[in-house]
This record gives sequence, C-alpha cells and structure tokens, in this order.
Amino acid sequence: MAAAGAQGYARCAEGGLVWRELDGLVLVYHRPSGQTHMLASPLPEIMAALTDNPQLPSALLAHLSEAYDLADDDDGLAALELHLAELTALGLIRSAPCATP
Amino acid sequence: MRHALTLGIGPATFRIGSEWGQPIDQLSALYAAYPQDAAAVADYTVRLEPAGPLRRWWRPSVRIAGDHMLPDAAPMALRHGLLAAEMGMNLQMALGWRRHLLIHASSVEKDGRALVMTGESGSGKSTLAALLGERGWRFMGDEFALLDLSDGGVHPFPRLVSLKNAAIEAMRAEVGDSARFGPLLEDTPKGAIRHLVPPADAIARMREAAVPALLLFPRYGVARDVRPVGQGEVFMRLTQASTNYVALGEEGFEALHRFVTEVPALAIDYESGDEAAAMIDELWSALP
Repeated sequence: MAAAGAQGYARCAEGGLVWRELDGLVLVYHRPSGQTHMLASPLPEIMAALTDNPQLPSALLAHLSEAYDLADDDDGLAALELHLAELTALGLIRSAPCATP
Repeated sequence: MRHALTLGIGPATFRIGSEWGQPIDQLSALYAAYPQDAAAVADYTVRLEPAGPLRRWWRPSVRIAGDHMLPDAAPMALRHGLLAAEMGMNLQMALGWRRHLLIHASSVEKDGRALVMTGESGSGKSTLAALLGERGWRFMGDEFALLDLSDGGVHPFPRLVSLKNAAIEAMRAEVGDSARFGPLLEDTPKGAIRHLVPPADAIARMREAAVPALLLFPRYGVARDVRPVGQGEVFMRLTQASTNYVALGEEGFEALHRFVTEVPALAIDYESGDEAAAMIDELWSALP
C-alpha cells in the first residue's frame, strides 16, 4: 500500500512526441527539445502503457506483466523504476505525485 | 574585395571575393562551365582576406571569411588560395544550408536512381564517385548529398572533385583530358591536393535530382567484403554525417527516417578502385 503523494508516472501532453518505427527500434522525436531518441524494447512498451493519470510503478508493472513475460517481483520493479527515471530525465514522460489510498 | 566571382553550384550560389587575383582566376577557369552570373543573388559570400595588415605582400597568407566562419581556422598560404576558396564554400554549405538535409556523402546517378556513399575521410567515397563518374554514371557530388525535405530525392552538388594524395594519380590514369585538372597543391594541411572538373554532363544536369536507391558505407584498404547495415545504425551514422540535422528539426527527422527506411544500406570493403567499381555494378544490378 503506497502512501499518499508517492511518485507516479504519466505520459506527456498529446502532440509532443513523433513516433517512427525503424526495424526493431523506435525513433522518438521530442518536439519541445528538438532531440531524437532511439528506443529499444522495453522502453517503447513502457511508454505506451502510460496514461494521462499518474500510475505507481507497481501498478504499471502489474499491467505490463499481463501483456509481456516480465519478472513480476522486486527485481522487475527495480528495473522498471530505473527505466521510468531515465525516461523522465529525458522529458519523454512525466512524474507526478500519485494520491493513492 | 578587389577580385570577385559569382558561381552557381547545384542549388547554391556563391560570391567569392579575394584580395588577390590568382585564386579567382583559377576558380573562374576551373568553373568555366558553371553559371557565373555576376548579377545573380548569392546565397553565401566567401572572402579570402590577408591574415594580417602586411600579409597581402609579405609571405602572403589567406584567412577564410564569409557569412559563416570557424573562429579558430588557421590561415593558409596564398599558393593554396584555390583550396581556401573551396573550403570556404564547403563551410558555408555545412554551417548555413537549410533547404535540404545535408549529408556528408558522395553520390552518382544512373537511370534516375542515385547511389549515395558515406564514410569518414579516407573511406574512398570521393574517389569512388569520381571514378564512377568516368565510367557511365552521372557524377552528382563528392562532398555533400542534398536530401529533399518533401519528396526524399537527392540533389546534386557537383563542385570540383578534391583529389587527395594517391587518388590524384589514380584519376590522372582515368581522365585523358589534362585540362580538367587544377594545379597540384602540395603540402596542404591535407597533403597533396589536385582539383578535378567533373564531367560535362554532371555540370549540365546539376539541377536534376534522383531517387536514392542504394546507400553504401565504403572502406578502402580492407579485403573484399559486403555486409548489411541495420536501420538503427544507418540512422545514427547519418545523423553524425549530417551538418544540419539538428537545425532542421522535425523536417530533418522525417526526411532522414524516410531515407533510412526506403533505401537499402550496405558496408563494402575493397582494396582497389577497380574492385569497388565491379562490386558496385554487381550490387546495383541486384537491386529490385
């Protein structure tokens, strides 16, 4: 049970990113910075799973585990949190306080 | 400027001014078949200036100036004035051009389709383009391939071919007409350099674009080999080979993505120009 105000993650406002496929990779053009990012799995899948409402990493992992064969344990959660922090630092997703019971 | 020349190369027009007559006379002769309309509006200005107050006469030394400049560029000897003018024009394109995605690559054309070759200095991309230009292909450029932002076509930029060191003799053996060669410039910062005037059809058709059909990453001096290059690697290497990818923003991103997904890419290793030309003919005829 997470405490109120824990960090959740959400996608950025619509229209900020341009997605293009490149055999096995995803190119993302970030309009606000003009930077191009080349993303390999699982980063595109993580980004695609985000919504406008912030979600906690644990909830996101549970959601991703339904679609992909992921380690739904502490190691999996730690790896996901690392990816989320990385994507946030690049400005490709946003983190926000997540009010949960 | 005491001496000046207006010169059209591909889609760009340059105005080159010089305190000395010699570089302008050499340029004017070597670019005799190119548009030289003094009334044309120039995209860029290149100025060859004395490096100091007395340097017009005493150990004359040329500083390259223009619309876009590298602040720390070392001055060059006046006898290398032609090279300074060429470097000045390249610099304007590399730093200022925005109408196309500019890729550091050579290109040649056959049947409306372009072969683009990119690689680091010494890969042989420039010499290979010059060689193919004498063997049935249309030479489009040895330095920059200009990628159209709307339709993805490759536009020529057929400036003089800059032959370096061993490539000079190789092309002397290939080109019978000695009048197409500029003066031999020895001991330049890049070694010996001699400019070659592109074939007449390359100049006459320098506004004619072609559809890119094959991208090669040539490597000279390594035993014959051909390898596919993945799209991710091609994309990354071309962003590095482009001088204006970042400046063009989303338009550049879309143009490069289109090029990378539509044009097959191969790395080729070769030990001689003849070997590379034969490999290229083989690869070209195997294209769909």
